[in-house]
Amino acid sequence: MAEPCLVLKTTLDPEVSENQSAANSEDSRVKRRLSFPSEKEISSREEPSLTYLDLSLQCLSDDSNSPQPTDEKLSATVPNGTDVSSEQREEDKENTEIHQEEQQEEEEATSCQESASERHSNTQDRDAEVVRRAKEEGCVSVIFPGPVTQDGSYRFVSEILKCVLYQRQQLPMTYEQLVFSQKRQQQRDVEDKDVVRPRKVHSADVDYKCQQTLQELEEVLHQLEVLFSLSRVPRVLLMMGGSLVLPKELYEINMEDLLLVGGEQGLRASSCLRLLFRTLFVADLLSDSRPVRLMPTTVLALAHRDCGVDWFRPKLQFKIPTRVKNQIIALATDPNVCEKQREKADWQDYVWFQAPVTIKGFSN
Amino acid sequence: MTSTLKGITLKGSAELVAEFFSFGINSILYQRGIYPPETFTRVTHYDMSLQVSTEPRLNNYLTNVVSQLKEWLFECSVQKLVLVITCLETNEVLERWQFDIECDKSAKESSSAPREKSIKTIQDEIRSVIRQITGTVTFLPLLETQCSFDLLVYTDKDLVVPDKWEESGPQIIDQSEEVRLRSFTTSIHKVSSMVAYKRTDSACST
Repeated sequence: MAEPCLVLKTTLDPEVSENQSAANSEDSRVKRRLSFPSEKEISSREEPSLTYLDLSLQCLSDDSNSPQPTDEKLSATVPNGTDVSSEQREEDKENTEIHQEEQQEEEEATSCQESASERHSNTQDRDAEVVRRAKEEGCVSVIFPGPVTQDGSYRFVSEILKCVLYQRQQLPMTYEQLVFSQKRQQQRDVEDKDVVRPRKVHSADVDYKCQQTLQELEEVLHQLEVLFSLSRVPRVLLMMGGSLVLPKELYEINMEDLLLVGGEQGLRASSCLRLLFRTLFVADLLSDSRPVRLMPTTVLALAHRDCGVDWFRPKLQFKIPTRVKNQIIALATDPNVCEKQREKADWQDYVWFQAPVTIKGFSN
Repeated sequence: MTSTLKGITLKGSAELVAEFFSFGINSILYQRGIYPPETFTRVTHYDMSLQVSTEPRLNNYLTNVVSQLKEWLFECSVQKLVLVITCLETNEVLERWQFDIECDKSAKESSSAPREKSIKTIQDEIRSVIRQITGTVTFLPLLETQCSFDLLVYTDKDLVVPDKWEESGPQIIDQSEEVRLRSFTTSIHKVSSMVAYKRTDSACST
């Protein structure tokens, strides 16, 4: 049982410096409600008087949203000089109807709460099973409630690759943050081009490695996209460190049981990605409190032998290493969905292709 | 801060945890886009790249809150820190980051010896929590409206409420989903993290 406690928050407001807050004490109660609008909000509220006005209006609207006590709903006034008994009967009838409506609402609310807590409990059970399978079997299964597009399946692989690189400490920030950071740096370099400023050797070295890693990663991502446009890709391997025969870490993205459709018929990739990454997160397959050394990452993909891809190199003799634990991320379509559309897949004509570029990774 | 040579004291533990909250809150504000990315700068701490705000007023606010939090951590009178993200327009709570804090109160005794846990190990654990905070961006619903945030501190009931603090409601999310993050411990304070977010009705909802 939770310990009894106080829930506190500070009355300080970052929109007002400490010196001003005493002077504005009358309005401080109102301002506390907003706490911290984002920067966009700050820039759109340039007039201080308008800010106070908006705040007070917000306060009022908040008050009006607060639930009314039940007693008030049942109260009814009797007009002067009218037949009290018939009025009373009307009132009683109204009150009964109101009471019945409220009972119904309460029952609905209770059943909503119950189904919400049922859902919560089901989610907890599912999460517990995900954790168990990840720990004991080294496998995370993600079941989508419908088919996906080929482009969607490419996006799953590209996002998983970026995630693995960050979570396995091969990148100091996420890919998107690195790209943003590089662009900002390039902008600064352009703006400061006439300014002579000594740059630390370490900083220049990190920038170079960052650029190199981004180039390697972007090349692999682009070529994967090309491969996905040429062939179904049922399996992708991410091999980190060591060698092709004995890597330090091995991750497989298995999409053999993913049902693919064209055009608009598939599930939205963004929804699927959320489900995928929530499941991966809960499984806690990738995070590690121990530091992980930098190591090169090689991508291999299973594709049709005649797909015509030229950047990836076929590895006809390649076999998946067995002496290292293969962490599998299995993406599949719910077998109860679209049963008739499933065809038995035949991967006999599929061979492994290896990316000729490894992603080296870097740290600060 | 008490170094690893002499072990972790209650004071050192309070400082470590308060420092985590400072960086953790900045990370959440950055990752969730509560403030624009250009108002953050990159620093290195815990042997990793972190984003911290350059907004003076926000930093002043955070400094004040974290400083008070450190006192309460030292007194072992704080139970939770909660960062609530609210839609500016509707005041609806969209996300709730909850950090549960357990304190080994035996560390308050004057005879209590420093605990033998290295700062490096603690920082490794903290690093993995912060990476997880970053990782949540991959599945948390997009915050498409302008948002504000609040920091709530759950303390022992008999605490004297200091100046510039007031009581608040818990600001719970209606119909939420939750995900637990990793925890870390200094051997005196244990911090367990979780995030609750508004359930979305997408085809792929859990």
